[in-house]
Amino acid sequence: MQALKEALREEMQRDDSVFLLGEDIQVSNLGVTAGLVDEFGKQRVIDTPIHENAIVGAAMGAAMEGMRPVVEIMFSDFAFLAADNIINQVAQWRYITQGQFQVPLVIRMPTGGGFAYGPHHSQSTETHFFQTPGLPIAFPSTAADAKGLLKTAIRSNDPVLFLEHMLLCLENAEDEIPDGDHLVPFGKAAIRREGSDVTVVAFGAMVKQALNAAETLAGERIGVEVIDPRTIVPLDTQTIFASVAKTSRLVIVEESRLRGGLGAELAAQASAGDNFFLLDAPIERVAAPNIPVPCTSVLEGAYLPNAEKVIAAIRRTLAYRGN
Amino acid sequence: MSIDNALRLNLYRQCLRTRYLDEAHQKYIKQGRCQSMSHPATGQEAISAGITAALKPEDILYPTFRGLGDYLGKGTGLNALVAELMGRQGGVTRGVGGVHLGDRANNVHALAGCLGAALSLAAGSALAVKMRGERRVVMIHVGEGAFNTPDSHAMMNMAAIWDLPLVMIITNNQFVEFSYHDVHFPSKADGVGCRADYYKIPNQRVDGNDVEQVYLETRAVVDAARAGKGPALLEMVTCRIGGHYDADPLTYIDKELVDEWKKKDPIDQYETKLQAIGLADQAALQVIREAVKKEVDAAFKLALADKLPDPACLFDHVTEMDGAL
Repeated sequence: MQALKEALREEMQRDDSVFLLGEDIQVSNLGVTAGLVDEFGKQRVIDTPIHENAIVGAAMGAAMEGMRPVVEIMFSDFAFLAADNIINQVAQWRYITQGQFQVPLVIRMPTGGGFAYGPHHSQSTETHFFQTPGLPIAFPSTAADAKGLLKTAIRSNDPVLFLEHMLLCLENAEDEIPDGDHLVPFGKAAIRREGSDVTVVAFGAMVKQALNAAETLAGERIGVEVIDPRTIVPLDTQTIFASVAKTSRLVIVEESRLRGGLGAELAAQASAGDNFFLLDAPIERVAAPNIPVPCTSVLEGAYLPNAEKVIAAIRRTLAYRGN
Repeated sequence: MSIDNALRLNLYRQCLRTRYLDEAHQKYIKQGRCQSMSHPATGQEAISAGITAALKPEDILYPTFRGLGDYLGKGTGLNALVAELMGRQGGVTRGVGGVHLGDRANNVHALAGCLGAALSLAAGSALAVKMRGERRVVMIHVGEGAFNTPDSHAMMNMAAIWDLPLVMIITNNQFVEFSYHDVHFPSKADGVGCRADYYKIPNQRVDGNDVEQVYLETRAVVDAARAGKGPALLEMVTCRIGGHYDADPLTYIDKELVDEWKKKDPIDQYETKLQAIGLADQAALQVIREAVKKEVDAAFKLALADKLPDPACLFDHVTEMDGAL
């Protein structure tokens, strides 16, 4: 949370055209933008009426006239209210106008489950936007990346969908944040842990679950390589497939739902062309099931992917011996 | 505020350009020589001509979909516009945008296919203009159907709360796509612009078939917005004489109503006025008509002879970022 705030503050100090708008961002529900109004004023930290499509639209209109707005969608579930502007306008304008109009707009979306907030404040919505052309998507898993990716996003001339997992905002609160101009490039995965037996690609909050799984399995001398893509679009498949070439086994972990998920796309790519020969076992996908998110914690816990489910998937792929 | 004779002739010419362009566009589609779609502004040409004449080059326009005249009036070249509709290399965006084209050089934004989406975008552009302290005006032009989408209220709300230099032009042409006004609105007499009353945004109805009235009323609100007096709304009352688009079956049309409005054709009316004030006689008007027709025909011939875009450009301009397709 502090990392995100630092990124916003530094970019607002650096560039007068950067401003924030969203619902109640002056008070700030989750705290990311709290206090920024004292430093930058109501002109640059703008509370808007509740109307997601129009908030994104207004930000886009401002972005096309030389501003660099950062929009907050209070929960990523609410992004569906702005789906028309995000998918049809924001993402496509550069192409439709053949580069005449740029939309340097960042859409921040707190996302994910773990708080018993139920069906409409807990979903991982990135897969719904994943298919949209012209829309880079960032999903940091560490405080340092949260700062570095957000700063890169704000300086980008492309629109960026920026996912902030709410659990990570709390869990990573004590993590060290690099000072000053810390920029993390899009499309460059981080290898969080090296290992030679299986490659686990995990997105967002699932990176921590994958690392926990890897730690457990290390006790059994199973070497798990954990890759954090950091950005979903562009996706650093080069790093991922280089790892699979080494391990011959792939597990993909995401908090969004299984059907048509990030894992589905990555699995298809991992078995296409020459990649087909890299694998010694079927690809395993760990994701949420195709049901709504239940409210009560015990059911939500059963719904969400976690380290145990990752361990089970790793064991399945390691146990595979073929015909 | 007054209108000089040079402007009068320009308004007349712009009305003609729109009409002849729409006619030629439909003809080329019917002949199978143009693959785009035409939403002709027949009977509504005075609105595009009048509202754009009230804008300066630096002012920003979000055009309506039934609005090739919006582009022409804002300065988009006829040849580049026609080449765009014809999907040719010489088009503003070499046919990629097509009827959705945007034209940065003339400050005309691209057109959202989900009509009404641009409403909030226009508010945002006006916010940017205000934040930067520029003396520019943002204008959005939509039909009453698009104005029925919920973002119209968001736009008026933002314009009022943030006191934006935003001029909203609502063309009320009696029809919404393939149905009549009363399918969409509870009252015909009240029009739609009065919805701005709640937001305390000045609004009035204007005879959309009188090009000078359109210009004068628009000029007044544009000047006011430029002077920092906030947003305004004008409802242009007219009637769509053609169909929703070139292949409209027209089965739902109230012929009596349309015939009644045909008598108020904006171009015929203006020709009568130009003669009455002694600015041009029938022969002089004929010379102008011929010249505009020739200009439009030449643009289509030029486009036909133009190259088609190279399929190698298919992936250009999706993102600036590498690998983010």
